[in-house]
Amino acid sequence: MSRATGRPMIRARHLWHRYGAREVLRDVCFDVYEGEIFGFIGPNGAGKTTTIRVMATLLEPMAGRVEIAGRDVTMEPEAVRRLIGYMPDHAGTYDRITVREYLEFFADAYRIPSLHVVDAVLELTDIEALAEQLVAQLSKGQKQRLQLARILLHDPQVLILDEPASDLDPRARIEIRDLLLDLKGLGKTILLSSHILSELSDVCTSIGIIERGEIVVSGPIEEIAQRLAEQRAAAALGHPPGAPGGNVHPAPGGGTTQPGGGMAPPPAPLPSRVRLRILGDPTAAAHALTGGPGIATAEVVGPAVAVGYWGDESKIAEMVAHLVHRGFGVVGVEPERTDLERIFLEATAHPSGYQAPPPGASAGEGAYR
Amino acid sequence: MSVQTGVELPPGPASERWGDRVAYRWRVWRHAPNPLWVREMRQSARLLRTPAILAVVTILVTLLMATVGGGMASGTASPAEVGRTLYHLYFSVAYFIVAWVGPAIGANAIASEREGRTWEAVLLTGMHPALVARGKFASAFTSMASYLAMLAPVGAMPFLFGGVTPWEVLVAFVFLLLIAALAVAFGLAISAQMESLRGALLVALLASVPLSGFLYLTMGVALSGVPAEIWPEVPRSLGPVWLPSAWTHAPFGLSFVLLLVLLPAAVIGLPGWLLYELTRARLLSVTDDRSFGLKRWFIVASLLTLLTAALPAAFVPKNERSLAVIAGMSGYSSFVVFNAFLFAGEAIGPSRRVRVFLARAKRWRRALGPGVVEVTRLQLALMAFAFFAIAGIGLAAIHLTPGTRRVTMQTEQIVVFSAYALGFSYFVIGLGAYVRSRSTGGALPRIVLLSVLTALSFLPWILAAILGLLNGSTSPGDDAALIAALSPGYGFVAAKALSRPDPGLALIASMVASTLYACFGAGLGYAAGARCRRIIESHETLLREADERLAAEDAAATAVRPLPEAAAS
Repeated sequence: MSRATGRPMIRARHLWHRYGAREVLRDVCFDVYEGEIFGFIGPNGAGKTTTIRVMATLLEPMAGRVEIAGRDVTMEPEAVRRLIGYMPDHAGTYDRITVREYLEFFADAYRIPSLHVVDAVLELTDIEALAEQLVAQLSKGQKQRLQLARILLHDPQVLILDEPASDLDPRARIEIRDLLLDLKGLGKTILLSSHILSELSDVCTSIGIIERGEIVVSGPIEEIAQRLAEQRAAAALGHPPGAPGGNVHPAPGGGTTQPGGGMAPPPAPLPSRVRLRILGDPTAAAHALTGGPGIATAEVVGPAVAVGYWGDESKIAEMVAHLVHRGFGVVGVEPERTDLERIFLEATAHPSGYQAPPPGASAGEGAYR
Repeated sequence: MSVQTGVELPPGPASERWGDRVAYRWRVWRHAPNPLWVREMRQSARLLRTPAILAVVTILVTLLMATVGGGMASGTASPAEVGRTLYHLYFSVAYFIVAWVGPAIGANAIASEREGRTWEAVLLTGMHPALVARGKFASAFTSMASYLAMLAPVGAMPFLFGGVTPWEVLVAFVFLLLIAALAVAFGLAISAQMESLRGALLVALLASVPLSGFLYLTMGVALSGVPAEIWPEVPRSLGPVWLPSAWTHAPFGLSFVLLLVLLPAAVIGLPGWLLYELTRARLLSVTDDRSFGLKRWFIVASLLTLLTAALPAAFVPKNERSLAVIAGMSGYSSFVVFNAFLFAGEAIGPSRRVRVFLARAKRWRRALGPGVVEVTRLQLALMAFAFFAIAGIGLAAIHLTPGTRRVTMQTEQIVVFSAYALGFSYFVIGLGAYVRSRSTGGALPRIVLLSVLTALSFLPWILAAILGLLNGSTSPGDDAALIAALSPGYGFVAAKALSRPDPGLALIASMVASTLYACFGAGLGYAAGARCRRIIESHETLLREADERLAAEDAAATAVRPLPEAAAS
C-alpha cells in the first residue's frame, strides 16, 4: 500500500519531553503508514526509546500527541494497548517456566478467547520445537523470538520493537530479519528502532532519523535517497541549497518531513562511494581517476580503488569505460555504502540546532505533578 | 476461558439471579483463576529453595517446642501448664515468622518484576491494576500459607499435654492466617512503590521487625488482661495469644460480637483494605484516578472510627463521660493527622483523560475524583461531622442521664477540648493541602508536615519549660505554660484545668490557640485552593492552544491533500 492511498498507523505530532532539565524530545513529528517497516534510527541517547515509550503508552509526553490507528495514546491507552505489540530493549523473561507456559500466561493476561493461540504463535515464530523447554535454557536469539511470539498473541496491528537485534549473533539477526519480513507480509505495521544501520537496511521501507531529540529526516527510503541525489546534482551544477530544483520537500504524509512540519535544513552533498576491483595495478588506476570530472577522491584499498564521486550511476559507467580505455581490467563494482548509510551520513551532516519550543508547546496531556 | 488451565468456560449467565451469578463466579474462580497466580505457582513449583527453607524452619520450631516442653515437663509444672505454655510459644513464634516473612514475600512481588524488566510486558497486556494486585497478593499469600501449613502439625504438640481446647487452636490459626494476609499486603504495598527489589526488601523488613514487636507487646501482652475485666468468666492470665481463649471462655452476646468479632475484624480489615487501595493506586498511571479507592476507604474508615470514638461515651460510667469524649476525640484527631499524610500526595487536579471519564460519571463519583481541593473539602466535611457527632453524643449522654455529677464541668471540658481539636485538625488539613499545592510530588509535603507537627508538639513545651525556669514557677497553670497552648497536647491541659475551681488563663489560652489554628487552617486552605485553580487554569490554556495548533495543521493538510476516499470517488 502506498503512502498516497494508505492511512498513517502511527502519527507522532510535535512531541516534546524532558527529564529534569534535559530536553530529550524536541518537536518530534513523523508518520508511519499501514504495512510499512519503519526504521527509527539514531545514536544512543538520541531519544528513540523515549519516543517509543510514549507510543507504547508507558510515558506521558510533556507536549504533543501520538496517534496509533487514529487513537490518542494519552486519552485511550487501553484501546492503544490492544492495537500494539511492544518489545522493549533488553526485555526480561520468567526463567522458571517453559516457553509454552510463558505464552499461556500472556494469552490469559491478554484475555484471548482461544485455546489454540499459543500453538499458532509458536508456529509463526518457528519455536515449536522449544515449547517444552525452560525459558532459562534459551539462547538470546531464541528469547527474542519468544518475545516476538508474546507480542503477537493478541494479533496487534502495529509492532513496536526497540533494538530487537541488539546483542544477537549473526544467525539470530538473520532469523529475526526474516521473521519481520514475514510479519510485514501479514500486513503488520512495524516500527523498528536501532542504531545499527546494517540491521535496518534490508528490511525497512521507510525511516526516521532522530538526533539529539529532533527528527532530522523521515519518509520512504527511495524518496529520501532520490531527493538527496537531486540535491547533490543541483549542488554539483552550482545551485545553492534551497534554490529551485535544489531542495524538494513534499507535504507531510507524502514524503520527507521535517520537525515542526517545516522545511529541512539542506543536507551537505557528500560524494557517493564506489569500490572498483581492478585487474592490474590499482595505484595506477587510482592515479588515472584522480582529478577527473565529478571525482572527489580515489584511494587504493587492497586490490581495489575506492572512489568518491558526485553524480548518478552513469558516472560509474563513465569511470569504468575510462579505466578500460586506459588498459585496466575492471572485475567488480561494489557500492561502498548502502543507501541507508549514505542517507544517514548526509542527513546528519548538518544537524539542525536547538529550536525554542513554540508557544503552547509545554502543554501536556499528563497529570499535574 | 483460561489458556493456562485449558478450560473453556461457557459465557456468563444471562440470568440476573444472585444464585446464578455466584455459581458462575465460582466456576470462573475454579477454572480460570488469576493468570498471575497460576504463573507464579508454576514458577514456585520449580523452585527447590522453598521446600528446603520450609523444612529447616519446621525442624527448628519443633526443636524449640520440644526443648521448652521437655524442660517444663521434667520440672514441677502440671501437664496443663505445659500445654498452655507450648500453645503460647508456638503461636508467638508463628506470629513472628508470619510478621517477618510475609512482608518480605510481598515486597518481592512487584519490585522483582520491575527489576527483572518484565513489568512493562504485564502492564501492556491491559490487565487492570486491581487484578494485578489481587494476583500478586494471592501468590504471596499462598506462599505464606504454605509456610503455615508446614508448621501446622507442630501446633498440635500442646494437645499431648492438655490445657488447650481444639477450638482455641483453630481460632488461633484463623487469626494467624488473617495476620499473614495483612503482612503480605503490607509488603505488597511497599513493593508497588519501589523500583529495586533490595530496596523493597530492606524497607519491608526495617518496618515490619519493630512494628511486629510493638504490636505483640501492645495488642498481645498489654491487652491480655482486658477480657477478664469485661467478662468475669474469662480467666485472668490469658497470655499473649489471648483472643482465641477469650472466644472460648466469654459468654456469647452483643459485647462478644462487638469486641471479639467486629473489632478484631475492623482492626485487621481496615488496614488490609487501605494497603490494597495503596497498592492499586501505585500500580495506576499518574494520569489515572489514583485517589478514588483511597477516598472510598477514607469515608468508610472515618465512619467506623467515628463510631469507635463516639460510642464509648454512651456506655462508660456516667461521671466519666467527658473523659471518654476526650479520648474519642484524641483518637479521631490522630486519624485526621494520618489522613493528612495519606492525601499529601494527591494530584493537583484530574488529568484530561480522567476529566473526560468524570464528565460522564454520576455526581457522587465526580465528587470523589482526584484533586487537592476536592480531597480537602472531603476531609474537612467528615472531620467537622465527626467532632460534632462525638461531642453531641457525649453531651447528650451527660445531660440526659439523671444523677450525673458535675454536669457543667464535664460540658465545659467537652466544649473546650472539641474546639481545640477542631481548630488544630482544620490547621493540619489546611497545611497538608497548602504544602501539596506548592510541591510537585508527595514526598516533600509529607516531610514538611511531619517537621511542622513535630515542632508544634514539642517546641512550645520546651519554650514553656525554659520560661518557667526563668520565672521560677513550676505549675502547668502558670503563665509561662501558656506558650505551650500552641502544642496539640494543650487541649488536655485546658480540659484538666477546668476541673479546678480556678482554671486561670488556661481556658482563654486554649480558646485563642484553637481560634488561631482554625484561622491559619482556613487561610492555608484558601491559598491552596487558589494556587491549584491557577495551575489547572494555566494547564487548560496550554492544552487548548496545543489542540488548536494540531487542528489547524489537520485542516491545512486536508486542504492540500484530498482524502483517499474523496480522490477515488
